[in-house]
Parts: sequence; structure tokens; C-alpha cells
Amino acid sequence: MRKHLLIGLAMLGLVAATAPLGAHHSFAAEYDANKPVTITGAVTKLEWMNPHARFYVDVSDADGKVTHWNFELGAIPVLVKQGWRRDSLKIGDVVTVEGARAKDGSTTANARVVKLADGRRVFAGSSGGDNAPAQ
Amino acid sequence: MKARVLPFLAIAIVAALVPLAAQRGRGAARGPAGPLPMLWDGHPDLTGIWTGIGFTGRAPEILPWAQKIIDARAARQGAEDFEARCLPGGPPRMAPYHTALFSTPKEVVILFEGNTHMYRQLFLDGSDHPKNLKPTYYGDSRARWDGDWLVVDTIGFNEISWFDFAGTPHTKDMHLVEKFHRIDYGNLEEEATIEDPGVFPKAWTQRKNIALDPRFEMTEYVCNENNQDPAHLDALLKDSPSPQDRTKKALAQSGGVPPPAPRKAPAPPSGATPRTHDGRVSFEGVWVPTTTKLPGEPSYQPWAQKLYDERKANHQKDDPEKYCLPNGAVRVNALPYKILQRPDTLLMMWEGNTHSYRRFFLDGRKPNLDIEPESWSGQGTSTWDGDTIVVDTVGFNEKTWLDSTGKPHSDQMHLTERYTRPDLGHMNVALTIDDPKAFTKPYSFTRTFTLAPGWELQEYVCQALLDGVN
Repeated sequence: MRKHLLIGLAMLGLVAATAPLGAHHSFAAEYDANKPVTITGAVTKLEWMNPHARFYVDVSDADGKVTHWNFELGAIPVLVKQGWRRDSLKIGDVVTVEGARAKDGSTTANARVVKLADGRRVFAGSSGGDNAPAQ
Repeated sequence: MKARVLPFLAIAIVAALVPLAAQRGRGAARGPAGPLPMLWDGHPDLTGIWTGIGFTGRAPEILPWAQKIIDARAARQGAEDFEARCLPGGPPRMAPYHTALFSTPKEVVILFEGNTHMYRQLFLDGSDHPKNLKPTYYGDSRARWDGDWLVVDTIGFNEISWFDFAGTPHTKDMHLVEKFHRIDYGNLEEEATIEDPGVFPKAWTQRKNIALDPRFEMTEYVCNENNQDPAHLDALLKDSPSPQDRTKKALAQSGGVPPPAPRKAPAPPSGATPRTHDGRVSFEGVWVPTTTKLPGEPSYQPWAQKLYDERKANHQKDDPEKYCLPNGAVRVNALPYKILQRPDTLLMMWEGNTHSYRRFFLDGRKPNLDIEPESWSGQGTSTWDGDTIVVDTVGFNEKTWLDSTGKPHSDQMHLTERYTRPDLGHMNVALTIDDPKAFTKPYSFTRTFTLAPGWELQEYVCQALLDGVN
């Protein structure tokens, strides 16, 4: 049952990503598709608001140093169409995020895929690839 | 795993191809089937959510100076695009997210979810473009019916907006002719012809078919609420003028029009309450509140009283309106409001603040708090009670102020508005705000609006003020 729901969600994600929903800024201007990041950590904050939902993840290294990551998701209407709701991510959830890092070198990234702690893998509705200017 | 990915790819490819096939003309319907809905004046009713109105296509030919601009913008990958700074894209650029059409016999309105959650009025009353138009993002649009096609003629643009992320420019002499044809319940054909001899050697036309999105309602998209993008984009534009300087320069080149200021309302006309085609009270008109002040103040719980006292003591330094954030459902400013009416919906648009809109649905729908648990204007259910429209709204965030002095409320606010129009020139709204988390008892007052005959809402882009263009 759950598997079917997951596949449904993933399909919705792909269809929504190809629908003409657009984005409010150029992906390529802000993020570098050639700088993929995969980050695992605990969610510290979720901002369920436009123009992008965002969530923040703390990552500790071997020395105990904590790095704060700021992940951009899609706009709320895009996320909602993909099955996301405000409580889909909760503070304390351990997530693995695949995304593209900001060109300015900050610990900010555009989340492409978010894997939830229970193994669910959902698309992030991000602007990655949509309407980006031709290279 | 691979076997699972393949069907997804197939779906993605099909989805990507459909619009291309649809572009070739009629018959490539992909929206829900059903008969073409008609308005009470016998013309097609274009109302609905049509995701993807507008275009992002490239011109077949472009003058060398304009191509240079595109190349320079492309080299910076669109980082200067004003849309990322919460400024309107401007037509014919496709607005991101969902777009609704709202049809009445005298006017069709395009309601944008993103990027600025504003509206565009297409006047269908036989009027021509006014003389000496001030340049604006959305221009001045006059529409007419040609058979089943709505033909919209637009001039009076500023030069700030781009056609797409690639940065195709236009001049203030751009002349845009858009055509909309609702084929059936779920499908719409759209055409746009762009004439701008300063940029394109000859006029060019784009066409596409778009589908109705009947299962989704637009969210209240507030671009300024959490826009962290400019900080990252500006880091890439160190050698370019600041966004503020670019906005100022662009506005200066376009005739430099600051947003409109409050103006003295005319004396309201006398006459009987007007009625709609179906015998209801008509609330249509351009309205100005007689005052923006609230009588007395709510009886506050201690935490809310403390917050209110702090806001007064610091001279309202955190007023959301200063940051171009929405005034919400209770607070008004002195700039005009406009109501258009259909049997199923009242549309209220406002000139100032966010230049946005609320809709009062009379079709029995309930708030969908699952999708949007909180918003600035909340979600309402509207019903007729005799000649009164009662709007019952919940789902508010705690960010709006009830007035400019900083009266707070909580997310438990439950707003009841009773709209009446006792005569031609007056509209009364009796508000009752029940908020047990912030108030010790409900707070009620009546606000009066007077009709401003001959007035029209002007374009007001608050973000231009934030950028220092004042």
C-alpha cells in the first residue's frame, strides 16, 4: 500500500516537474548543477512559505563541528501538487538531501531529492532545470 | 529499480511532448472534456485556472543591439532578472505557478498566483486606451470579442520586464495582441503577437493550447515573505549596478513612474442599490474606505496587549506594509478597492499595498486548510443572507496587523464580514473578529466605503518603493 503511494508520489513529482509551472528565478544563476551535494542531517527548521519553502539541516563532522545547511525547495503550490504538506518534514527528522550548491559558495543548496528518515524519497519541486537559460 | 524508473521516464517524456503536439493547433485537447461554459451575456465564460497562460518563446529575428543584451544577460545566467526580486514578469511572459481567468461581461481579469500574486485587468466595455498612458509592467489592456475569440490589445509598457529568463528585452513601444479561445470546458487556445520595431524587425506570433486545472485552487503567494534569492544572486553581480540602481535606471528610461498616491475621493453618487442580471445586490464598483482607522481597540489578552504596546512604543518600525507584505483581510489603506461580481464569486482587488486580490466564493466551497494551513488573507466561505453577503474566514497567520497602529491578532482569528450596499454610493462591511487566543471578547465594528464613479485602479508595485524608487 505504502509502496503504491510512494510510486504515485514520485510519478506526480515527475509530471509536475514537466508541467509549465515555472519558477521565480533562474536556477542556473543561483545554483551550480556541477556542484552536487549529498547532505545527511537533522532538520532544525522548516519555512513553509513562498517564494520557496526552505528547510535547515545541521550536520556534525567527526570533530563535532556543526555546519548549518539551508535548502531551497519549490514554491508552495508546486510542493502541494507533489503531495507535500506543511508537516511532511518535521523538526528533528533525519533526512538525506541531494541537491545543487549555491554558486556563492555558501552552505545553501537547491534540494532536488529529499529522502525521509523512513526511506521515502520525494522530489523537491525545485527550480532545477525548469526554464533555466540556455548555456 | 531500473524497471521502475522506465515508466516514470515514459510519463515524463509524454508530459513534455504534449504541449508541443498541442501547439500544432486544435484537436490536441488534453484538458477535461465538457461543454463550453457561457456567460450570461452569451459570450464564452473563460473563468478557471489555466496553468501556463503566457509565453517564454524566442523571437525568430531580433535586432543586433537587443541580441547583445540577451547575450550579456545570458552570460550572467539571468541573475539580474527582476522577477527574482518579486517584481512582475509583465506580459506576454508566462507567470510562474497557476493563473486564473475571471470573466464578467465588462471585464476579464487575469489573476496570478506567482510571481507577484497580482492581477491584470482586460477591459471589455468598448473603451479605447486612454491618452498619455503612464508606462506600467502590465500595460493597458482593452479587449473585444471576435466571434468566440477574446482579442486583447495592450500598450503602455515600461521596459523593465523580460520575456524569459534568457532576458529578451522590449521597448515601451511594444504592442501586444493576445487572443484567447476557450474550445470546450477544459481547453483554451492562446495566441500572442508582439510588435516592437525597436527590438524585432517584424511582428511575430506564438500559439499554444493550455488545459484547465479544475482540481486545484491557487495559494496566496507572497513573494516577499521569504525571498532569500537576491542575496545569492547579487553575489554574482559584483561588477553590475546594484538592483536598486538598475530599477531606478529602468524606471527612469520608461518614464519613471512611482506608484500612485492616495487621492481625494469624489462625493458618492445618490441612487438606488443596483442589481445584477439575476436579481442580486450588485457590489460592483471602485470603492474608497471613509477611514482607515479602527474604532477603539480590542479587549486584549495580556500577551497581545504587551505586543501592541511594544509596536506603539517603537513607532511601528516592523509594520509589514513597509516591507510590501500583505495587509490581510481586516486592514485597509486609503487607496481604492474594486469589486467585480459573478453569481459564483465576488472578486475584490486593491490598488495599494500588494496590489493583490481576495475572492469570496459563493459556490459552497469550504476552506482547504490542508493545503494552506495559514495565509495572510485567510480562506473564506461566502453565502447570501437576503441582500447581505456573509464572508466567514479562518486560516490566518499571525503576521498581519489589524491596522497601521499595530493591533495584533492570533492564528485563531475568525473573521465574519457582512457586506451590504444600502444605496448606489455606499457599501458597509460589518466586521466581527473573534480571537479567543488574543482577545478576551469579540471585537466588532462597521466600515463604510463610498463609490468613486469614473475611477479605475492604477498599477501599484510596492517593490519599486522598497528598491528606493520614490
